[in-house]
Amino acid sequence: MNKSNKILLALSIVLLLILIATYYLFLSKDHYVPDLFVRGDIEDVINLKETSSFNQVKIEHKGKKIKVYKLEDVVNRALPLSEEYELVLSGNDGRRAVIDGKQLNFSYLNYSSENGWEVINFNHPISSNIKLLKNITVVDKKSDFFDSLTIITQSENIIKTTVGELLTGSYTKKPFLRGSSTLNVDGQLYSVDVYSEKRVISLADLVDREILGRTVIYNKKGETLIHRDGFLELTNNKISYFNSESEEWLEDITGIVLDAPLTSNKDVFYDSLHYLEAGYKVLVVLLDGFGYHQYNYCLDEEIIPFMAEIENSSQAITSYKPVTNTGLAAVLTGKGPQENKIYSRDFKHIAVDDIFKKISKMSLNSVYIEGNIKILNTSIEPILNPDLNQNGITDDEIFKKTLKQMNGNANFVFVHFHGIDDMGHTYGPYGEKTIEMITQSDRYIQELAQNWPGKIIITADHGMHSILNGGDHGLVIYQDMFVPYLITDGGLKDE
Amino acid sequence: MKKIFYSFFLLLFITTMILNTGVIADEGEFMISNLKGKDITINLKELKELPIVEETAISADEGDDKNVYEVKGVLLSDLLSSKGVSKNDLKAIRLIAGDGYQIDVSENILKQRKLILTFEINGEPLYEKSKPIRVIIPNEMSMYWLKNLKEIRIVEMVETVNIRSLYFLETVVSELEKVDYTYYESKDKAIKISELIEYMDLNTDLRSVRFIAADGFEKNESLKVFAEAYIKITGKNAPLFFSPDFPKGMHIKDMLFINYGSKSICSVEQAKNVFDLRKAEDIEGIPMSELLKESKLLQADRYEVKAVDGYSVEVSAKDMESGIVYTDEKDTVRIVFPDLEKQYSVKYLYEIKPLD
Repeated sequence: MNKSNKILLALSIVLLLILIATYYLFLSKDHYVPDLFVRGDIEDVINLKETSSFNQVKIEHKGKKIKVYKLEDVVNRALPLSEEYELVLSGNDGRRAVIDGKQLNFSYLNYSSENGWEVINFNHPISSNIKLLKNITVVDKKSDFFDSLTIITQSENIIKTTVGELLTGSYTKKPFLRGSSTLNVDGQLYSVDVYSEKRVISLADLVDREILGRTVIYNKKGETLIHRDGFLELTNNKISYFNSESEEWLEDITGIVLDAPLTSNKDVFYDSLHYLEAGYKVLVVLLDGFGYHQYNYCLDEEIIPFMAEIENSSQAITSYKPVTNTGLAAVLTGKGPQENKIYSRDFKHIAVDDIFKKISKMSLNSVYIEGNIKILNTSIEPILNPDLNQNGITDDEIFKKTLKQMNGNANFVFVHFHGIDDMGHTYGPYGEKTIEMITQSDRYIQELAQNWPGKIIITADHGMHSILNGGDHGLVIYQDMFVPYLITDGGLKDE
Repeated sequence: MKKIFYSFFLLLFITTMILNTGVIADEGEFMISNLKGKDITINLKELKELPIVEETAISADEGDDKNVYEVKGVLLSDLLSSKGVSKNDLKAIRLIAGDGYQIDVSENILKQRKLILTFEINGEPLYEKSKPIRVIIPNEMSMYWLKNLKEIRIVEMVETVNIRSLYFLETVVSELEKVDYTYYESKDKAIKISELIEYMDLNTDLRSVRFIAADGFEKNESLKVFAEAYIKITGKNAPLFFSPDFPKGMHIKDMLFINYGSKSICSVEQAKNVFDLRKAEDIEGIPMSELLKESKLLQADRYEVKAVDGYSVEVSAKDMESGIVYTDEKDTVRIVFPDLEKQYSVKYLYEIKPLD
C-alpha cells in the first residue's frame, strides 16, 4: 500500500468513527421518546419512557428484525391487582383495542421514530396493533371489593367500579391552578400561572342522580369526609375525592355512602352520657356482626319478638373499616378512626377518652363485659368470659355474667355478645344457625331488660355479607356498613 | 521549589479534609423576613441542630418533570417552632431565591404539606447552584421546589382576633322567633342561627366560628355550617348548637361563648354555672371582672353598656370591674354597678364594648 492509500484509509477510518460518534451523540440519544403509561388497576404506575430495566427480545416483523419489549413483562412489572384483567390499548388518534390479559404470549411493544410506541400482537387480529400508543390501561375483571370503589345507599350497593374502568370511560379534563411564580430580572418582574389538568368525574354524573342528602366518603386508610356533592379525580392508579368549594381532598378512596343516615353507632357514647346525666342507669348491648339487613329479615320473619317491640329504632351507620376494633372504638368513644386512631383490627390503643373514663369523671360506675379476648385498651379492664362449657360460643357465659353484674352498683353496663358474628362467619349472615343465634340474642336481651331498671341501647359494631363459604365483613357495602340502633326502657313490662 | 511543592499539597490536603468534615458544608444562610415584624437570619449550622427528617419526596408533575428524591433536611414547622411561631399561624409565605425566582405558597399548601428545608439530596450535598437550601414540598409541583433559598418572607399571618364586643345570648334570643325542637324526651325551643346573624347584622365574610363550652371544650365550625344550624335555648344542655342535619357528635352542649370574629356572645345561664357568683344587696350574679377576663374583651379606660332598646351608659374601667350581670325573676338579663347610681343599671343587657 502506498503512502497516499494509507492516508486515505486513515482518513476513512477517522470519518467512520466521526459518523458513529455523531449517530450516538445526536441521533440515538437526543431524540424525543414520548411517555407511555401503564395505568389502571395496578400497584405501580410505569412509564415506558424508562425502558432501561426491561429486557428486549428480537422478533421479525414486516420482514425486518427488530428489538422489542414483551408486553407481558411490562404489564407484570406494574403488578395488576388480580390475574383476570383486560388491557385497553389507547392510541393518540383515539383508536382503542381491548385484549385479554391472559393472551399476551405473542404481544410486544416497539418504539420507532415512525410509529412512536406501537403494540405488535402476532396472534390477535391486525386491528389490535395500535400505533402512536398513549396508554395501556389495566382493567380488572375480578377485582375484590377492597380494590374497588363502591357507592352505596342505605339499602343498595349501586356502583362497584375501579380506576381502570373509569379511566377507560367518560371523564372531563379540568384545569386547576397549581401556583404562580415570578422571576425578577433587573428589577422587572416576569410572572407565570401554572395549571395542571385533572381527570375528573362529578359524583352526580357518576351515579346519574342529584346528590341531595348527606354523603360520606371513605379512603382505604379509614379517613372520612362528609359532604353533599363533589368530584372524583382519577390519577393513574387511584381515585381521589375533592370538593372544590371547601378545597377538601381525600386520597385513594374506597367507598361512598349516599344519603347516609344521621344516626350512627357512635351515638351510643352521646346517648349513654345523656341518660346517665339525666339520672338513668344505662345498659348497652353490642351484638357483634348484626347487620341492619339481618335485623330487617328477622323482623319480617317475626323471630325477634323483643327487639320488634322497640319503637325507637333506626338504621345506623358504622365507621370504616367495618370490623370489630373500629366499630367498637366508635361506639366507646363517639368518634371515628381519624380521631380515636383505631383504623382496623391491627389497632388497639385508643387515642381519645373512652366512655368509661367519661363516666368515671361523673363519679359513676361502669362494667364492661367481653368475650374471651380483650379487643381494645380501654380505660377499665373488661371482664373476660372464656367458653367454660365448650359449646363453641361465649354468649351463654357473657349472658350469665351480665345478669350477675347488673345486680351490682354499676350505673353503666356495657356487654359485647359475639355469637351472631361467629355464626355469621361460619354459616353466612342468613345461615340457619346464624338466625337461631339472633333469636337467642333477642331472648338474652329480653331477660336482661326485665332485670334492668334503666335505659337500654342495642346496636352492633358492623354487619355481615355472604361469601362462598359463610360470611365476612370489612367493605363499604350496605350489608357491612349499616347496623340497627334501638333504645328502650328496661324493667318488667305490663302483660 | 520543593517547599512550594510540599506547601501546595499540604494546602490541598487541608482543604480536602475541611470539605470532607463538613465545616464548609455548614456554611450558608438565609433569612426569614417579617416574622412577627422581625427579620431573622438562619445559618445552616443552627438549622442542622433541629430535628432532621429524611424521606422520599415526589413532585406532583407528570412525565419527565416528575422528581423523585431522597431528601434530608429540617421541617419549616420545626424551624418556626424554635422561633416561637406555629406553621398553622401562617396564611401565606413567599420563597425567594438568590437568582430572583420567587413563588408564593398559599395557606392551603402550608396546611396540607410538609415544607422541607433540604440540604442533602440523594445522599449528596446540594449542587452549588442549589445551596444553601433547596425547599422541597412533597406532592406539589416542582415549581415550588425552590433552589438557592435566600429568603422566606412571611406575607400574611393568621390574625389574632381581639374581642371588641361582648353580647348576651339570652337578650339576643328574646328578640328572635322560636321553633319547637324535641331533644330526647323533652320539648324545647330553639332559634335559627341565620336569624341571629341577620338580627345582629354580623358580617358573613368569616371563615369559621369558635365555640367555647362551659366544661372548657373548644371547637371551630365553618361559617357555612354555623349559619345553617340552630341553637336550642331551653331545657337540658342549653344553649346547644345543633341541626337536624348533624350527627350527635357535632352537637355542642352548654355553650359559654360563641366567638364570631371580634364579637363574642356569652350565655349568662352557663356563665352562672362557671363563675363564682357575687352578691350585692338583694341580687346575685356574675362578676364582670371574671367575665372580662374569660371573654378576653379588649381592655379600655371606658366601656359602653347597651340595652336591646338602644339605651346606653358609659362606665369607667374601675366601675366595669365591679359590675354584676344577673337575670331577674322574669329572666331578663341585667347589669348593675354597685358603686354607681341606679341610672347606670341596664335592663335587657345586649352589648358591652370598650371605647377608644
